[in-house]
Amino acid sequence: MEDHASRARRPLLACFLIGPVAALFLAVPVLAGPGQKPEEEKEAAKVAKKVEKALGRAHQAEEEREALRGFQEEVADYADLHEKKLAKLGLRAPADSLETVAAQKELAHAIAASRAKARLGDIFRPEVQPLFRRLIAEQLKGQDSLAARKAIVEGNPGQDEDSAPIVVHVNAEYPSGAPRSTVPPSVLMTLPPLPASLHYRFVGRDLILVDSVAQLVVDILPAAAPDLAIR
Amino acid sequence: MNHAMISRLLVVLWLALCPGPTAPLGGATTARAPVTRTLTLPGKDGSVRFAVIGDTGRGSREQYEVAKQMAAFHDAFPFDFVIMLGDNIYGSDTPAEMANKFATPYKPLLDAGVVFRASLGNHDNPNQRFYQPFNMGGERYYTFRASKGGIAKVTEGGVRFFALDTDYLDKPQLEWLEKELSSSSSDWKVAFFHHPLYSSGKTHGSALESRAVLEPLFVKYGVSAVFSGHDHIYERIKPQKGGIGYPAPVVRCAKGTSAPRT
Repeated sequence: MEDHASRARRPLLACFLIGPVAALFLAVPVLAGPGQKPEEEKEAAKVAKKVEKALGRAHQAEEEREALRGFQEEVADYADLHEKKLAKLGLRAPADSLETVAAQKELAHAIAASRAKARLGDIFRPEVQPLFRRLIAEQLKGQDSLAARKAIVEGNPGQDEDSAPIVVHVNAEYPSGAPRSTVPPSVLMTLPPLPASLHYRFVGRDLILVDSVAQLVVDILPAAAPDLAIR
Repeated sequence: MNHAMISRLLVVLWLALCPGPTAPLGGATTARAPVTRTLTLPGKDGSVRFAVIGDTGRGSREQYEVAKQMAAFHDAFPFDFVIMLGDNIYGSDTPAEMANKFATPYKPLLDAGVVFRASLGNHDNPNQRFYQPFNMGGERYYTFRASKGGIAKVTEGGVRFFALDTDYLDKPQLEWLEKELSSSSSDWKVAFFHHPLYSSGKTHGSALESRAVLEPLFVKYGVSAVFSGHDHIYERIKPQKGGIGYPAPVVRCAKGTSAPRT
């Protein structure tokens, strides 16, 4: 038979039992962390898969290799020119702002003078353009590509609502003071690798090759990206 | 100091160094024997002290006021260096603008010997990596160590910082990061860069593509803390996933809304 004291202890006992369970229940979303934002976590998982796939992508098809051969030769030629001009001007050491700006311009002028006849499509030759557009579209179309599109839009002149449109020209400097689009890893992993002297960037939907030191626009692939609208 | 200013001066923080062998703060994923940690409290000899700023370089009144607050805070809490989270110089970066947006507002700190270490944001000309006072050594991504007695007295262990360029996370950068992280024997590993892997910001939010390639490395190699900018809010992160945090909003500017897009 239960005595009075043990009946009185029952609520206390219940508190001891229920308390930790309730605390655990309440703590789970916090401990789980990403569980606080299940939608974002689902999207993050999709993006991670997509990026992993992009990382493992190799340009194995014969038609891809053939199309890229000419591109890579042009890129290698440009990298040689960049290195030669850089070495000639001796611009490798870190500098203060005055020297940085002067060096950038000096290098840009030297390279531009050597490529005075450069025209749109010299590096993004017509035969490689469909491949680039397809590779980029693979990363920017579909349910799992929202994050990549969003990354490209940010800082992209003319796409980002707070960045004014700019006009770029082959063999002219990237406009001073204009932001640069972020190029998402999945796109970078998919596109043919570049030497350190060159970077891919987007201006609107156009893909540009820009000299990473001279900040010179080396070539432009118009309408490289599909519609970047974020819905 | 108003909310906008708070959002720009993201956090001033201390790190307590561990004199003996330790595990990373968040714990690496690899199994290790439990270790005892002896902490040196902030403000004491041997602690590494630094400030963090991001998205600052407009040459605005607010930037100058924050810089003034930083200098005043430095008098009471002498941090040795400042890490910069990108968008360090918005718009034009002529010599006059570099002075207006960096050298002039931070002159008292620079004069006091405080070292600035920058990472690049989407508004920065990548050539700012050559700008001597940013101490980037001409690299888009780089690493440096800070230890007992300040940044100049590097010894074993200590804290290693990794500055990344999340505007352009290409394969060479990721391979470099993995190599550096895997070979680092520092007690603390701290990464800093522009785009937040986790953010509750309404303007930008989490950079999921960057998270997909960076977070696995941070978890694998026991990165202790990550600092990022881009969203103009102040948000603290609860450590998890082996030390990588998830957002726990604490203070936001403008009553819970993000600052204007950058």
